[in-house]
Amino acid sequence: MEKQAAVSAADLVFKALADAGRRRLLDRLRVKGGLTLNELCAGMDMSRQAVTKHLDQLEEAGLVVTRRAGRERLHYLNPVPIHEIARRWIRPFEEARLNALRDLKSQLER
Amino acid sequence: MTTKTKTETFVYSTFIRTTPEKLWEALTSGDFSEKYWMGFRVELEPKAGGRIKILPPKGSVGRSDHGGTVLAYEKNKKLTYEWMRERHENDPKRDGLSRVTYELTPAGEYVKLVLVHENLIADDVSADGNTFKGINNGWPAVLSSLKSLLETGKAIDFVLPKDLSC
Repeated sequence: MEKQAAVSAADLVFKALADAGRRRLLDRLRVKGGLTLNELCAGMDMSRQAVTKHLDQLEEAGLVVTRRAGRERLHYLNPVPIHEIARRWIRPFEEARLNALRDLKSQLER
Repeated sequence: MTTKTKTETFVYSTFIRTTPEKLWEALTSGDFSEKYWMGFRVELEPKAGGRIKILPPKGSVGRSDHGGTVLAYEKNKKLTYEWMRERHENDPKRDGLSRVTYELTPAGEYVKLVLVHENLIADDVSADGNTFKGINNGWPAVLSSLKSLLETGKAIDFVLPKDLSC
């Protein structure tokens, strides 16, 4: 039962991340948190309905958290589920080596 | 007239398979917190206007008490406190200290924990993902570790440099 719940939570995250439009919304929120729906729609080449639907899916997966501020709903990136997934397959002693590889890759590709 | 820096808010959320009582204890007791919060010990005066201390691990260099005054105290539901009074209270770039709020909401077999950290300035945030410095890198790690401890009995072993100045 516990395993089932854990699997479906991860499934929601992977499904939410499987779409380029949704990843772009997350990137926008990573740069600046607390955006309204209107602010998120600006600069996205999709309809307001489509953005709303994507945000619902991201919220369901726990990747976006919303807070009410007066009449507006503000959207924030919540990286905690991604952090949990990342840890799931990375053993503690691998982390330093993976970071070294990542640094090497970004040096070479600069 | 001095221009104050524009402030930012970060919001984090996680569902933990536990009860509000157990989660509250984990958030407010030192014996619990030092297991999941990289050795930091929470000492809380349980009332609004009281003092919360978040004391660095013994023997660490350059770290200070991360706490301040308790601004809101509703047992098992909500806690708001000032962040890093000792370090930030005389910082001219700030218009008041930043504030941390925990909100606990039961959700079936889980408890939804929402953490809001508001009135932050650019100095508090790190663009580097390869560190526990910066609010944005620290909280997700602490929350995952807290979840892991409550659900499996085992916290995450973070490898933390001895001289980390946060």
